[in-house]
Amino acid sequence: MSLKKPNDLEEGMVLAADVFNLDGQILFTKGVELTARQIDILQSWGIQNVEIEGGDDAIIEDDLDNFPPAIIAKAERLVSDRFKLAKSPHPAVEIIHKMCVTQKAKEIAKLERAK
Amino acid sequence: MNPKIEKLIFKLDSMPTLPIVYSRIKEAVDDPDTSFEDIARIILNDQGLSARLLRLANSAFYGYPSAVSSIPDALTVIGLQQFKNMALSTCIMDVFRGVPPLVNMEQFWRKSIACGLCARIMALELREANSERFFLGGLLHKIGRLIIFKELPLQSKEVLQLHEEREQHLHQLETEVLGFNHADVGGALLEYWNLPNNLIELTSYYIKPVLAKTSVQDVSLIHLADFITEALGMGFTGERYVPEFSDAAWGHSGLDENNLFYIVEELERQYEEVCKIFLDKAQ
Repeated sequence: MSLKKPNDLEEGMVLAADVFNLDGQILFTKGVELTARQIDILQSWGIQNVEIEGGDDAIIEDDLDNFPPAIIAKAERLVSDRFKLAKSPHPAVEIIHKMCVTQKAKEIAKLERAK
Repeated sequence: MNPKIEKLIFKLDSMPTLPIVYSRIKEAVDDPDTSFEDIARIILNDQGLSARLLRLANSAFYGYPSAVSSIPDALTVIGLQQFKNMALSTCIMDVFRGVPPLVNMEQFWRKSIACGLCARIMALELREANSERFFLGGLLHKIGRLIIFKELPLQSKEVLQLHEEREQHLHQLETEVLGFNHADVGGALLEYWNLPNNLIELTSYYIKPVLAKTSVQDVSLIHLADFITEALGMGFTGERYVPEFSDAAWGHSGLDENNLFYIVEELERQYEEVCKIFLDKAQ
């Protein structure tokens, strides 16, 4: 079982727990195999996380430290290249830079899993 | 207006004009005697516009809890004053069909939409009134580049070529080759279209917000939204590098570093859906 944000959901993933909206009404029940339409609904309802069956290999992908060092290094290199001219040492830049490295690492990990 | 821009770019016979439906809506919204139904009727006459507005009212952009099924309902969700800006947002892409595709146009609009969404999310987070103008501002922030592509295709190719060779921002190379950049042209275009001053400033000064004369905070949000969406690689307008970050703009924005996580999360939540609404070829 793994936790996923609605944006990271893919068609065919199976819900491992019921999903409720903010009013506590049930949207989808456990065991549902998600369709594109249902993913749209989850996204537009502002659901934070849903539990998905399987995905034991899934790491909690919001934390950069959970990626293998080689992937982090590659992501870091790609992002820093694009940030070459953004020289401000402002803490906001640092945070955004780190978000971008995490996002890039996620992409690379996904590509490597697909191979 | 910069005389160079006027001479090179503003040829009256080839300047894009705002869609007629927008001027009709603007007139109607600004006229206190117009009723909701009158405005709904104008919109319903334009099938593409009404379909997009309905989809938008039902999307994560508004996050309205129940289904919005008619144009008058959609107007209530969006709000009359804000609606003017959204009507222009939904038809601006039609104005620029047929621009020589020096960059992929879909990617160009994806970047513009992302910047608009990001600026609007920041504005909502800061409890700014009339947040739709930030969406429109973001959507239009690089519009001048399309005019440059259209009117000066050869020089545009030269600028893009130089950008491949040198580690410099595209807007710097535009200034070097043409004597002005896309922000200058964008501001001049919006002025020519008689759009509100605030919107002109958002487009003219987003690269260096401290130069804005009246709305530094508003312009700062577009600057930051451009930075964040370029950093996250959302869409592509020809620029290879993440823009320079203005510490002053951050200060003027009133944002806190802790807001960033929510802003990016919300941006990613709305991005694909809103892109689909605006870029759907079937519409």
